[in-house]
Amino acid sequence: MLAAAALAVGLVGCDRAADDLLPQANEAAPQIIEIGELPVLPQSATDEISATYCDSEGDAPNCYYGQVRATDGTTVGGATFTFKGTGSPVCVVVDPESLTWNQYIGAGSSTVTWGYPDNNADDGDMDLFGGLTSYYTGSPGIEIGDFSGFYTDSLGREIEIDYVECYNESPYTGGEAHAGRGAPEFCTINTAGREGIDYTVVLETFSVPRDDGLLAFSAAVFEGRCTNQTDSIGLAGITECTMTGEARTESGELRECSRQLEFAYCLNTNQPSKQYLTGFCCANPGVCGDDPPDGICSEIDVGAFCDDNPSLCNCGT
Amino acid sequence: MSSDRLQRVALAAIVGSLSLSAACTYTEDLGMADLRGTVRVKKEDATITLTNLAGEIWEVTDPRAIGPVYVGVYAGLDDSLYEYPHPEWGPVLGDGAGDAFPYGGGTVGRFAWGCYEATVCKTVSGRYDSYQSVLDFFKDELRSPLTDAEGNEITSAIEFQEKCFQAEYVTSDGELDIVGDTDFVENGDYYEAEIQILGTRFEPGVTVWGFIDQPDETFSFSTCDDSDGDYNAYYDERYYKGTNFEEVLNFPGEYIRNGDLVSDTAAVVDDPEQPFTIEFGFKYED
Repeated sequence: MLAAAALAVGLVGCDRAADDLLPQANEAAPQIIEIGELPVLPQSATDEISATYCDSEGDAPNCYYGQVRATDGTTVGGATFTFKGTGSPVCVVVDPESLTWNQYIGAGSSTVTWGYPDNNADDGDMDLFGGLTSYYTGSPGIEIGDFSGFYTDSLGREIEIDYVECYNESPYTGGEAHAGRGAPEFCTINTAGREGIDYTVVLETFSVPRDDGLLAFSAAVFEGRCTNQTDSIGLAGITECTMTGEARTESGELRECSRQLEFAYCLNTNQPSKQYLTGFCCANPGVCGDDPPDGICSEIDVGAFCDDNPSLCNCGT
Repeated sequence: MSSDRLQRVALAAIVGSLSLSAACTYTEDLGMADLRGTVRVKKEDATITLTNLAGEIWEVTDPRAIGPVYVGVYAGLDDSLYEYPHPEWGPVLGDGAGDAFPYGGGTVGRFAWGCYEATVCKTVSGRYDSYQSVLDFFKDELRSPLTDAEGNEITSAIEFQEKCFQAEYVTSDGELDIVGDTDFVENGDYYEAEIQILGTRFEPGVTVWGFIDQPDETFSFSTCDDSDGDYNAYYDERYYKGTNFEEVLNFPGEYIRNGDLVSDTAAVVDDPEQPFTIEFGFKYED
């Protein structure tokens, strides 16, 4: 009798669909998009880049803010765009929504710098790679491809070659690496000797936010190597705050408080002792994660924080 | 056991043995081969010029001064990208120097740490037959006696050996790369060494080509990375032991520098059973 009861309970346990762990289909955006040609922006553009700046010149955007939906599970999704070689190195950047941090869960003070949890349902990830358009095997807007080709040596041996000229760079080692969910990814392409030649950049969908099944992102190309960008935050110059406001609603509007969250994150990274992120999350709890540690917001003077940082508080009102 | 049964067991054993023997004749046709040959360099070409902070300039003609010999198996040779004969290159992309896509390769000697920091990227395996030989070479030829971490000169081969045994956790010279049988022998005006290139992909007509990373005037080698390799953590001595950079045979153009010796007569190999000979007769001067 006891065994039968245990089996029944177990079977009920197996009934969980776990749909909430996967992004749901959302027809508001396509799986694959072709952005078109983007110009190579001067390094100074990193100071003013935004969705408005990107669309400021009519049909020829300076850069791109948009979104794709989750793939059907059988095809690769993402976006592609092209740019023309300048004859010098250029830095390609993509920033998927929104941003992620690991919550500190140690036994120390609840008011530690990263003590407030992240909302991990609003984060996605894209992987970046690119090369000469002539080697690209995909169909823009229809099918994501790669840059593989073949070289035959003088003895007739056929060698498969990866013609990719840039993969995501690690801000720590300079080698190939993946930045992780929500984090900007970037790489340098040296276009020396190829001025005016078309390059294709592939932004491959890796992870789609669970909250709406849409992955919003921003993308741009800057002059110079990625480490030479003028943005002073972070090890390699490119940070969450190089391009802000990429998080979008289903209708394409800027997601409430998302830019302020990015600014709070960047300030927190630069000045951990000032508790920008905890202050922001306590003032705007709906933007950050659920179940913050007990007392984390009572141990920080949110009123004083908002007096000092009005732009980070009450952003939704 | 009856004799009938014994006969049947014996017969089964014979049949089984024959079956196994037949299986051993199976040829996998992997398209690979072991190549063996000789590398040679004229003594006068192997002569290096050294200098020190005092401004002294002197020449050294000694097989212990010969750097690692890198030998690769390639589809063919070319001379269009550099001033020296080099392997044919695949497509050159972006910042890259072009990949030669070797079929295989080997070396005569490799960077071998000599138990003291002063030997990082300075000592090569197969060059010293004894600890005393290392000490003599540093003192007499490099004019820079080998020193320990405190700057004290190492004068005793026994002390040297003891330090190696302690630092490498070994109990015999055979476990160390720094001393042992030497690679090069004198043959008239030449230094010669045997080389094996094991398990290389093989097609009739492959070309064997290589270069010697000769030391510069400070006895430094372009193919050695002193920020990589095994890490020495012996009490307060903490540093990398140095090792060769990766893909030297794929991108030799990135490493061949002034004074390096390049094989000017590459060997074309049609039969892997026939030994090859290559001579490093082109001294690159930029």
